[in-house]
Amino acid sequence: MQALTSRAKPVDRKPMTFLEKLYVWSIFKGMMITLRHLFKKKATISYPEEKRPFSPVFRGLHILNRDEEGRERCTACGLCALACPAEAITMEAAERLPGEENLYREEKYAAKYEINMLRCIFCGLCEEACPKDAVYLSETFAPSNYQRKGFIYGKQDLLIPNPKDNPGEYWKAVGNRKANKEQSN
Amino acid sequence: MDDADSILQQLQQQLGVGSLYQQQTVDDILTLWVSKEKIIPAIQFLKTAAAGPFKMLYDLFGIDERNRNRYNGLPMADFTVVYVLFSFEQNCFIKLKVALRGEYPSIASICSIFKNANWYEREVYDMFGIRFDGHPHLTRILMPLTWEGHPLRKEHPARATEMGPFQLRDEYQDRQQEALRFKPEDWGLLEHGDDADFMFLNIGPQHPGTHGVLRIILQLNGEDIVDAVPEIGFHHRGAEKMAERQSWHTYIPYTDRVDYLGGVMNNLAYLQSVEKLAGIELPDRALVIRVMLCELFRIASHLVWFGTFAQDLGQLSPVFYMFTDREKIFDIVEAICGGRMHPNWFRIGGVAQDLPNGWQQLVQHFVDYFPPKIREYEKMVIRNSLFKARTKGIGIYTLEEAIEWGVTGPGLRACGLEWDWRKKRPYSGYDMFEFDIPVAQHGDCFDRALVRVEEMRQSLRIVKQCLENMPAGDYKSSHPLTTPPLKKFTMQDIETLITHFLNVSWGPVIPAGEAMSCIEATKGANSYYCISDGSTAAYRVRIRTPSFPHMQMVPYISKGYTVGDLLSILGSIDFVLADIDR
Repeated sequence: MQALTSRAKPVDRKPMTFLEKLYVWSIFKGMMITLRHLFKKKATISYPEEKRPFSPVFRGLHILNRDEEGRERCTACGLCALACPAEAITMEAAERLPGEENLYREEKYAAKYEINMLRCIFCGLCEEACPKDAVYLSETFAPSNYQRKGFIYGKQDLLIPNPKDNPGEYWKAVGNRKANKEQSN
Repeated sequence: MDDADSILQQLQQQLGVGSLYQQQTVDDILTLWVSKEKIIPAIQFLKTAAAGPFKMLYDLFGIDERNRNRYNGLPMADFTVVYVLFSFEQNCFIKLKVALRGEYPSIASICSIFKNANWYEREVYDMFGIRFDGHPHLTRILMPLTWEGHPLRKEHPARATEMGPFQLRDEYQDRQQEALRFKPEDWGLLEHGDDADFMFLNIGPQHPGTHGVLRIILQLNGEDIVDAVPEIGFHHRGAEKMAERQSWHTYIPYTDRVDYLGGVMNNLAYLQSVEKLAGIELPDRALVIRVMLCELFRIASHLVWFGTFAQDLGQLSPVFYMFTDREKIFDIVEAICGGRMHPNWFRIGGVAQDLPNGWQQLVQHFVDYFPPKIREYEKMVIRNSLFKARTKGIGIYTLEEAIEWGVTGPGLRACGLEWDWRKKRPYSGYDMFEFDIPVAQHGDCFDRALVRVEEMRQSLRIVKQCLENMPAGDYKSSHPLTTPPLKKFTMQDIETLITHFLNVSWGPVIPAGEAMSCIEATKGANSYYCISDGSTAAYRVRIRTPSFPHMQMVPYISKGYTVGDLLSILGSIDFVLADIDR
């Protein structure tokens, strides 16, 4: 076996003091630190009873946005799907029929809009891509599920509640970020 | 460029006039095409005889040139092998390129000149099928031994869905099972010594001391390590292949995942070279924001290393305290970027958003909070005599050995060389900041630990300077290739909306060319070598990560130590498996 000494530089080894050599003293000191931490404020929270606050820009679950009159903002241009690095978004466009003006803001809308949360990496590029402020990432996690198909979120899961019919739910879903932004506007 | 000219002249004298062809690249690094026969003398000369010798093989990789449409008068090649050497004396890179013709070409191995060429050449063989004559052990390194095809060749599919449905047939399964059988000679190990049989011990792939999916096969004589063979590739995701199918913009989230402890640092390395290609100058505010985030991530990464290193050596509490503090950094990161470990926050030409209101208080709080903590941890871990006993004089390498094996970062500074890319080749405005380069002398595990602890303090100094001197202005450049363009105009005029649509759907078209970046990442020098042929996706992206050469060195520095020492060595070199395997 190759001897190590031929290529090793001498290391500055200050001889350890008697106390240090005992090691028991080091172990004791270490245990004291641990013991002291027992009485400090807890760093953890008891999830799921307690939930930590997320920052306003946190990138969590997607939300499909509506305008002030409760019309869907999405015009199914497909930019979010193209911008998505993980190819998690699929959509089908449809044309707005006469009489649906109160439902969709633009003449074209997304008849089907799906995000596969198993593919999504929550990078937020879809939000940046959207020219209509129609999709944004909210401050919640994607919840767990027992089945794969439960992770494919359709329009009914993603759409924000209608601010006209259900203002309470709407403002709750809007969350801190959007609420602050809209109130400042 | 005087240095470059003199090197060119020296090489021309050595190899004969007409044997070199100089290529212009946007990164101002001397790039020379050398013929296949002349590569050995060329590298030999550069390493030993040249004035200001190129002592370090910085990187070695291949390029599949068969689909490339813009040769611009460059030598015709089906494949290219690129050697990147670095000279510490001259503070200068040189790139040597060798054009190879044919479907499965071969070239002479340079393992006899540079020790760390071994793994790099195996990687090129694995990825391209290029053979290296005279290589001591030319086998696959990242892909499984039974893999068919060479992934980075252009004909190899990039997605599993392009390969047809997978079926597990009996004979296929048998072949796979047979390949898993452990035969020491396959790994270049002997079963018997002069007077004893060796014992073989697997550490990993699932072992807490390996910090990820790494397998190390140990050849033991009693408890002494006779030889060690790291098996890597479990974490290989083909990051370089993905770069060829993603647009320049949508590749950014993937870089986050290369060194997952470094976060935005990977974005920076990638974008440095993309911005060089595109010719984008960043506004000051964007630069300082980038630096601040990078240094926060450096502290976070070092905290993880510190905690897990102490844990490897038997101290179980520190890791919890340090993760708690890392969480404090992540609170800042989350408030600024919206993500935590994968912030995906830098963009071509700037950053994704401006800093949020109240960021100063968050950062200020951390700047005040952290110094006493780091003193406490130093007292708790570094000054502990058990820790000293297990790290002093363990895993020593000298400066010459470090350079020979391609060691960069804290591992190099622990050998006494004051080398920090942030100081020596400043990028992203690091020359505007005041900080010191911590250096230690002995190159053992203990010194590497000392250097990192001091680096955290220096990083904090930089963060503090960012906090106090954050310039006003734009967080994104106004260059047309900035992606996505500033959104406040997008909603209003059709011109910007069209640019927005083009840049987001097809992606920006980066001008044809080649550029290499080099940054001081958390673990050492990280480089992205981007090649564009004027399209919306990279033609080839090479990621040079620091952990790869560091891991290659492990067998060399662990011979003769015991198994317990191996764990301190592994802990002290601070690698991330995702960074090794890419």
